[in-house]
Amino acid sequence: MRLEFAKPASFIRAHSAWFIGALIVLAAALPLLVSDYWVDVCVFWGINVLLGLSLNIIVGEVGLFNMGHMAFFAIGAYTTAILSERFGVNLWLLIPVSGLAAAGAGYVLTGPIIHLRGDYLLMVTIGLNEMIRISLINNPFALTGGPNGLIVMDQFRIFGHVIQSPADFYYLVWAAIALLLFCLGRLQRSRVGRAWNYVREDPIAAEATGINTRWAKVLAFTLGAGIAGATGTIFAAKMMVISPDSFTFMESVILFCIVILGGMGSIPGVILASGAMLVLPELLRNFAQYRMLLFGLAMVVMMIFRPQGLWPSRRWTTRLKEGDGE
Amino acid sequence: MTQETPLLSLSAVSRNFGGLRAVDSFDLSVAKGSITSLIGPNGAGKTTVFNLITGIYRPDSGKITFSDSALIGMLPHQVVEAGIARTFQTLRLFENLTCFENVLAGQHCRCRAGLFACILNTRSCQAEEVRAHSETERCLRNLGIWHLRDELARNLSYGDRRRLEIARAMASRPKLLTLDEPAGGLNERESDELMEVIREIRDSGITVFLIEHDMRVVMGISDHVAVMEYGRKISEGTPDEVQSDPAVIEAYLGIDDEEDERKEAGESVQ
Repeated sequence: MRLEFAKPASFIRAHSAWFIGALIVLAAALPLLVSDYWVDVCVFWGINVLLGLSLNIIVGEVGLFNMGHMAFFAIGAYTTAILSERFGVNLWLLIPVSGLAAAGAGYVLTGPIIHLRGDYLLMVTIGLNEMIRISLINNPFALTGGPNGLIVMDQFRIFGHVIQSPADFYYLVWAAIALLLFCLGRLQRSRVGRAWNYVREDPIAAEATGINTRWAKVLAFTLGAGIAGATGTIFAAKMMVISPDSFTFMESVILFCIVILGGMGSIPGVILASGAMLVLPELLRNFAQYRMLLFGLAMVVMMIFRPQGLWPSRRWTTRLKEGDGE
Repeated sequence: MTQETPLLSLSAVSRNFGGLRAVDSFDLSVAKGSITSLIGPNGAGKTTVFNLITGIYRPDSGKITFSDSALIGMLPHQVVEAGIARTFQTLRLFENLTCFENVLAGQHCRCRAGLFACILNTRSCQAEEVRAHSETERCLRNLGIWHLRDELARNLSYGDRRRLEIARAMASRPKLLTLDEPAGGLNERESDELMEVIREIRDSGITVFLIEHDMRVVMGISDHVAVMEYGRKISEGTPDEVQSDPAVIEAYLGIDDEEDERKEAGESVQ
């Protein structure tokens, strides 16, 4: 007899193959159906999804409050810009390289602070975000170009085709999301993913049950930072100009809100919430000056009426693979 | 039942909190295959002894040896890996996870799959998962809560929560199971069932060390009892020996003055 985990049954899950198939067809056809403007919106939505998913590992799965995630995104984007412009390194190669650079930074920077709890960790990560941003403005070793930032002239090429139109980037970003979703799905129901959840639920009990909580936390931070860094490469290639303005504390806050709004630890929640955070302001362009006010209001309303998030994550239940063992 | 080499031994262990000497050159040995209890009035330092063993606190001086290796300096999760599992006085379950996942946590330290093995879902990772699942199932069945496996921990009744915590500790395949007041808050029938469970665990070859307030439980199941007061050990022996030790009676019932008063009161009633 073998046990395996399965999500609780629901209508969508019972017909998941049909829903996923329909979604993929719809997603693939989207650039043909809507204007370039909306395809571009979907590209930025996708970048936010990648960032949201990476932060969800830290905030959602392990419960570490990180409000400085843009620091790692910035490290990835600047690594790409510097290595691409100065040394002509291929952009495809720079995705893992930038990821490793940001992961390394995440590992080193969070080592001394990982034992901090809740709000204390939150404050230190805010400081981290500002430190990185201000360092970039100060133009250390004339590497970062100061407040003006850097230009990225290189482009992704695949079989001689240059990725430059909104539709090209749309496919690139959402393919990256699909790959990430596959990996995160595996992780969620593995030993590592469970260890993260145990630490989130009760760090002391987790430690006393034999889980190396420090390992679990550092691993989550390093992995989250690494994914954000790799996303930085795609962002740099898309924007062609990167400057410290893109990596402000405010952006980190919005990212944090995405994870909380979506539901901590919920992957579909992150996708939904990052869409809401990006697409809604585009729709509400006329009310741009009230945007933050509306965000604040939305957060308050959510915390009162739906503290578990838009799409709360549900626990997997056991299912007997062969016969019933009762 | 008692063998020459104890499974766990503490020698001259001390721990201060500021000016308070919570544990004062405390000696204890837990024989392999026994049920050993530590009792004492509130604030005697019992839970501190527990936390010293399980690595949550570090002793200021003294030695703790577990099956021939020193425990001092190990982190709590390393102590679990070495073979000591524990439960908490105030239950600490993973409230929002299912019972199955709660117990599966105990198997974490017996598995090795890392980040990449989990993403690639390697063969050894799969084999490990199957093993961990069947071990979890065994623990849930032994504690009689298999039917509750998909229930969230927070939805369980108090007695079942106690069982779940023991199951989680058992899932790490410990040599020594340490229980901090397992009968706390249980009614008579539930604590009878608990005694049965603890006996079964002992009979399966696992040594049990517990702190308990419920004298009925302590005297009912213990092979060996140690009594603590003000951080010191004041008595030790079989349940019968301890019960008749004047030092223990004094610690629990107060000094002789009261005894005299009681006698006087008795006489006056007559």
